[in-house]
Amino acid sequence: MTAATQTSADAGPSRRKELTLDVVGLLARLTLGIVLVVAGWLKVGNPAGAARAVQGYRIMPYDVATYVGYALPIVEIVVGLLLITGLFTRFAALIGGLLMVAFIIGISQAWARGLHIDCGCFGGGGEVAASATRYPQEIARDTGLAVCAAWLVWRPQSLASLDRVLFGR
Amino acid sequence: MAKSKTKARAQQPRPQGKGGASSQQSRQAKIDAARKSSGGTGVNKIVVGSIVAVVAIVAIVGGVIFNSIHQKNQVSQGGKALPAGVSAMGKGWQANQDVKLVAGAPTVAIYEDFRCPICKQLESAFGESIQQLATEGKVKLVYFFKTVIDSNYGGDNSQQAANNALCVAEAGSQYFWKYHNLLYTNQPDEGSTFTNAQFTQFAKQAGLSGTALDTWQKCADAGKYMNYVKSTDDASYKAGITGTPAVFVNHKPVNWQAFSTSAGQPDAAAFSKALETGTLSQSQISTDLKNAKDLS
Repeated sequence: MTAATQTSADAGPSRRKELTLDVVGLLARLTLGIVLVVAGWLKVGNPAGAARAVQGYRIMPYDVATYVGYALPIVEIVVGLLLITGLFTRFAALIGGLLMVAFIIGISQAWARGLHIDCGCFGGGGEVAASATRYPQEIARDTGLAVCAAWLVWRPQSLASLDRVLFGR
Repeated sequence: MAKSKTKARAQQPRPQGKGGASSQQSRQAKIDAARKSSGGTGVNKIVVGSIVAVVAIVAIVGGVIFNSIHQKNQVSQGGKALPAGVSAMGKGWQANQDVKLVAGAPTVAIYEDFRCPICKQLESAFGESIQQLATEGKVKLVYFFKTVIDSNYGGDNSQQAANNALCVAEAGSQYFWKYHNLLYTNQPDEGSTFTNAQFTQFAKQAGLSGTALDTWQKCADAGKYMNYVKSTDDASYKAGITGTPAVFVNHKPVNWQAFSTSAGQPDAAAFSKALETGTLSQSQISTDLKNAKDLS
């Protein structure tokens, strides 16, 4: 209770800085969270297609890729919802970041091996014409999202988060 | 903060151990007390974390199990019949098995999806040539039906289209060719579907009537070959044929788009000659499919 009065008295600039960083945190949360929920939502109704998209990367054995394809959209939605609501932000961002790193590796190896696939990030996926691949854009987008995740792992505090409401962080 | 939280807890009456409503109440009381004393931060992180973890695990594991079972059921609901002349699931179906082949006729294998736009291009460029070679017995024509567009857009309309075409073939290959052509000329925009009314209308247009039409309708409604179509899609996918169309002659992948005249039109004569002789020049071999294995 006394902390509040003190802050307004002599810690104005540092409080403003905190607020700015909190806003950055909120934007990072919403960006990564909304993209994950949308990506998961677009795939969750077509599990067979999601499985094919994962198989298209040709990293995992066929059957393993099938189960990963079934699970991935749900994982994305769960992690995305945690980020949007700001609950267990650091943990959710860590998982989201690891997903992005995995996606970047997957896309890069497909590019390097000369596969012609759509990343299948938002549904679709699988083989496309050589001219229809968009590897650089896909990697750039996932790198941007990985940066959002890294920010939140480093500094999970943000505005309007359940972490703050429930646990006072 | 942590201190006041502990205090608030300690002041609470111990749980009565009766379970159910009373322990629920005492937990709520605890939460309320904690919240009052620490400015809205009294929710137990471990409790919330456990709830979230359980919900997440149930959703993910449940979803995977549900999908695995559902995908299997979807197929087993359809019939498990093999088309005439096919010895096992995953193997190709010879479209001209009623024709006597010329000695040394090459095997042409085509992997296609009735809803795939590039398959329609192949069909409009060379469909007639392929059909002619097949009906004259100059090649052994083997189809592998694939469901690439189903995978991309969801649903099973490509699978149904292939099933229904195989149902038409029961009546005779002349009907199959017509049905095959009707499906391609009336192909819906990518991502859209054939309607059941269209499937039936095409069967009539292909020449089925009376009991033959009734038999076809039953076969279509029962999805007699759905399981088989799924099997050829899976088997060819595992063999590296992931996209459609794919054309092979004597197991060599054909770069069919390379067959064009100097004016840029499809060169049907050169294409027919390549299939009939089974010989391809270097530029006529598809590099995209160099790692794929033809299953014919």
